[in-house]
Amino acid sequence: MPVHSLHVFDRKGKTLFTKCYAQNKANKVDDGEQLSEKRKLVFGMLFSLKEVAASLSPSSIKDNGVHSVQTGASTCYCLETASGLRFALYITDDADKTHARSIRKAMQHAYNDIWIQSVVRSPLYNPVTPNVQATNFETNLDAFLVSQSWYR
Amino acid sequence: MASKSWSPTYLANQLWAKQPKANAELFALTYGALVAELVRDLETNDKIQAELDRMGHSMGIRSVEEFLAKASLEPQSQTAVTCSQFKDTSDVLKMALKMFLGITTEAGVQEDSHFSIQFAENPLSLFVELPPDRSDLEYSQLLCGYVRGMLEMLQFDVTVTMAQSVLRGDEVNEMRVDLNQVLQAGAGDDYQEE
Repeated sequence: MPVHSLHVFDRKGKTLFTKCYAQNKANKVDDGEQLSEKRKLVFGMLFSLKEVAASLSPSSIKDNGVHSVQTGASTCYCLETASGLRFALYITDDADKTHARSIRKAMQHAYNDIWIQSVVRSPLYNPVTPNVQATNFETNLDAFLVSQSWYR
Repeated sequence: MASKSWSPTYLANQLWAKQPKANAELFALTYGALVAELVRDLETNDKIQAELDRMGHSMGIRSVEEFLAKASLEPQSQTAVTCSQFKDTSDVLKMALKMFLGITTEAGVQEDSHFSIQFAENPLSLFVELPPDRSDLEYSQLLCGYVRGMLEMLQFDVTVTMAQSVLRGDEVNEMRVDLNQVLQAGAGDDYQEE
């Protein structure tokens, strides 16, 4: 299954939402502490990469956000919004990169439509103490991801 | 501004056209009922304004997301909606006010650390007359909180006040936005603890 996991962080690195889609055996032994350690690493990596990118990029180009990070085994697609939210989507086995554009569009959709509709507009969501689990974000997100050609 | 390929006014109109509309009278009356309720519950103008400001703030930190999402969908706005500089935010703010409230604003003062925006029509204060004993109540304080909430999400700590208000006898409504500080990005306590 190419979609491995999705994390949503706020500006300060707090995890607002996280879900692991892959069901391989290695993950079952992960306890909560390890998972939160992993999330920390993901956020730390994206945060530092952005700093590096900003200091290296020519100053005339404003958009210096990190779009994706690719390794041999997986690609992490990242979407950062002006309000500081970071969506990080881990995809495994995307070696040919043919889906890169559509995945980026899909992440925009996940923010523009699913996040706005399900979370920001939800009366159950409290921005001060975020509780994304109380909203139907997960349901809507799952339905959307499953409908994508690169989901499996 | 002329060198840029987008125009804030054009973009604002595009966004406004796509927004679902509510009846203006219903909106104004609902807000009036809210303020009237607060006037009954809380005694002093200061408390009422603080409460309105708090409500607006909660609305602002939510609706900024919707604004950013919708504005970034417009093809002309590739560079428009990056609020990296404080002075860029006045254009963005004008777009947001048009998109959510349908009010057309004009820029007033533009300085490095503060700006003001003027608007003739205030949809909140339709039908409103302040009684003599509440003549210095800032009826539209909600808008100030709203703008404060939006800018807070974009890392700008600001103080927003109504410098002029038609309800108090001025010719135009003027909202003044003062920059206190630019909040620093970085990992916060939640990140460290988790």
